[in-house]
Amino acid sequence: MSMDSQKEAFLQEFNELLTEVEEAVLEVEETMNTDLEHEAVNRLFRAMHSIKGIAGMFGYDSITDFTHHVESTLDLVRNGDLNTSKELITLVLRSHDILTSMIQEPPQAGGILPKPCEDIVAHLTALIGRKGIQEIAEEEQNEEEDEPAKEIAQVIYSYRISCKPKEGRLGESSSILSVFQQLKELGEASFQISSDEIPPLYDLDPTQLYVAWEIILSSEATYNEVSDLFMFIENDCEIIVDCIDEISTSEDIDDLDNDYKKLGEILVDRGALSKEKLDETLSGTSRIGDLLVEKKLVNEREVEAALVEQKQIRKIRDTKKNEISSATIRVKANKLDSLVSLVGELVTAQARLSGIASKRNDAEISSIAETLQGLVNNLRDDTMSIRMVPIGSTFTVFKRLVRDLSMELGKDINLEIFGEETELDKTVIERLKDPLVHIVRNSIDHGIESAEERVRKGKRSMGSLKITAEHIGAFVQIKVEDDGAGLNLDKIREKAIERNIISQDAQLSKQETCQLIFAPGFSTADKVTDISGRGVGMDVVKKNIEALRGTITVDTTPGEGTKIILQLPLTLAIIDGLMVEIADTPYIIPLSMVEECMDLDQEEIENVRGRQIINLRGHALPFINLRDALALKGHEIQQEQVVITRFNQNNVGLVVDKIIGGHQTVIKSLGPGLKNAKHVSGATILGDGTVALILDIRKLVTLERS
Amino acid sequence: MKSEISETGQYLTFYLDGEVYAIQIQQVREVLDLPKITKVPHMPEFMRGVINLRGGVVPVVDLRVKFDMNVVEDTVNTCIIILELEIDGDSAVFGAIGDSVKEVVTIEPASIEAAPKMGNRLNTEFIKGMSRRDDDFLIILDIAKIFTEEELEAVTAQQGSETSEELVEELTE
Repeated sequence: MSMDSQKEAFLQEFNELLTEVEEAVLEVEETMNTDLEHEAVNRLFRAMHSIKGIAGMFGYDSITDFTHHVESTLDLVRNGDLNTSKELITLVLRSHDILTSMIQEPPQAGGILPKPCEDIVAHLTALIGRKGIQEIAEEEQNEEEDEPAKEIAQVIYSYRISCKPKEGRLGESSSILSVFQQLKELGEASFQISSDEIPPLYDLDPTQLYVAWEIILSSEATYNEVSDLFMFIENDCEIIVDCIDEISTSEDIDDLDNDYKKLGEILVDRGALSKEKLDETLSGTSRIGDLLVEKKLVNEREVEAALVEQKQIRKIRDTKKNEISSATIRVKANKLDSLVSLVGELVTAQARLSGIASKRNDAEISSIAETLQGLVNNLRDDTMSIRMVPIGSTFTVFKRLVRDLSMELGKDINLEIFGEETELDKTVIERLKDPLVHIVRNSIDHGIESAEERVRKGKRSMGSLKITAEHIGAFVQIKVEDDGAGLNLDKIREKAIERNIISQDAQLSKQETCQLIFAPGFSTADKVTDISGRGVGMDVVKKNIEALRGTITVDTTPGEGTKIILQLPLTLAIIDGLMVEIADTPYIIPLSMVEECMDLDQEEIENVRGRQIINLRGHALPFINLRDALALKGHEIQQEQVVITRFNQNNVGLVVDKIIGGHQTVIKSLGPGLKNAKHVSGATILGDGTVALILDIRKLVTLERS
Repeated sequence: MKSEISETGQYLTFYLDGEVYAIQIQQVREVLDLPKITKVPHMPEFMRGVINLRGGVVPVVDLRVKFDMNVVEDTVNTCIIILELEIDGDSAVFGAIGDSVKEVVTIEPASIEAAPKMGNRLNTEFIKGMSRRDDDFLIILDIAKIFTEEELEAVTAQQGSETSEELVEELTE
């Protein structure tokens, strides 16, 4: 490793630690005076300690000296000799900022600390009061060695659960599904369905449930916790719960070998095979599973179930092991990009192979094509998931931002964040940060009133700001809500006229007036503050969001608050699509929007208030004939089909000639000159080398309605 | 009157409705036989659609339609000239459909005249100059002008300019 790349790695790690410090401080603040406080303080201490360590390695002695003081203070808190306080938290946050700027400069020798550091050290000393920092540092030195790492050992159990509904109990055991749901929440669960009992079709009684389940669950839950789940269905099903494996994090890693029992042993364990028979069979040489099935000692499903068990437990052990040894590796983003585009090519090539295989009617090629398709699907999903990161990392910035701004402006604001785990493509998250910061600043500065004003208006003195992220269909929706004064529509109108954005006599709806805040050069704050109000904001925000193929809207209730809603596509380079045919041309509809497909029965079409709708099981379903909507020529066909799509709360039927089936779709941009194509969002290359268009259902529906 | 072209250059010539047109060779990437073209709905008539060019999607413009000439059925000679152009600061790849390609010629600047302002079948804005070669007239196209955003969007702009707000408003009704 060259010096430069070492330095780069150091800076990267340093910055990550700084983020960790910031997060931890805010966590301490949040959990202050609760049981969780101790853990948060520990986290903060560890991060600060690591900073001290790595700074020293790279010769940033002044940083080492400075962090040493902060760390010592934190150690006091950790040991309960000093209580957390707002003042302390502010000091640590300021240290964080100072460290951020110190790392930009060349390393400095220790000894004399820069002025801002000294200030903080002085404050910290004052805070500690009776103890001098030097003294503490010495004490700490002595303590450091003999303090063992206190970590609670975490045990993961694996259970084998078999659940077989009793005869004739189908009606009563309807709660099985919810039990399974709860099982899944407990930990990692694999489900195996046993279909052995299903009789031939002519003997089948449709009111009977013939299947049984076998579940391998890996969870921290104890035996009792797991079996309690089955309390309510005990009478309807035969339930057997066995604990089959147990790993503890406190165990030495080396003991955690990955060899769970051999397949044969599992089968013996499960009572599907006797030990003697196993030994007898084992004298052969091919794979045990195949052997046993061949000799008809166990049936294929039993082997499969046992294999699932083996796989899951190996996996759990594996992940445990990985967690302990190395949690993450760093990869350059452009390597990921090239991986994604390679996978895209692979998907296209695979589609070609599948096409040829189905044409040739050659079983051998078909089977290869199928295997390949499965592999490519997995590869695609994994590759995409690498690029997806939870949005929470961006939201951390807001905690700090809200804290600082509310202090600066003397407002009391409570920030609530929901959906931090919502995942979005990395690039989208990066480009989303600045617009979001701007929106949040606006809400705090213009939206939420000062405490006195709020009390006067009869509101709670503490303002509330809520940021929510959630998946809605193929989109991620981010909402920023405040309970402030709301937009002053009259003032917006006035300003817009004054700035020549609209004409004096323009007739605008409430919604349209709201949207004026996104017009270039618009700002309504009477007073330009340090934080916002320069009027360069919202139009840039809108531009940035639209560049990400997203939308931004604002909704307001005067006196009660403002809501800003961002909708962003997941921007996957590859999506699952549904291929349909209209006028002999294939089109792709994003599968994530598809609810169901059905044949179009002319008798189900009804006229309601001059609009045609489909009567879908008693509900009115508006529909669009895509042939008309896309202005395609060609003969009408006899039996049309309907794809029912859903977004937000609405279902819309799309009438097509023929539904062809699922298609892995590598999204290609339409290229220049077709930016204005309203009905299509992109294109993809099919197996035969032709181009198929991906329909933009949202825009299409909107255009049709207007 | 002289044209603005001052350097000797190589040009690809092709036929279009009986006349010979020329495009600077630097702007031509390749010439293809006509592949299957996928039509894009609600696009102006001259935008024939998109093709697959080795895994990339490339829009194709029918020059006959763009220049308001008679539209004829495609023949075996019909070709797509793949162009690589610098448009509005970005490099972009387009296809242009011509009747058939002729040859690559070298044209001296001295033999190039500016396009006459009158009596031309197509907008003089698209013409860089004219040159005589043997008995033929060569019309040298300013091909990049045809593919500027305004030109391509001239027709589309009128078709609904729905904005995203209206969309969400509609959906949240």
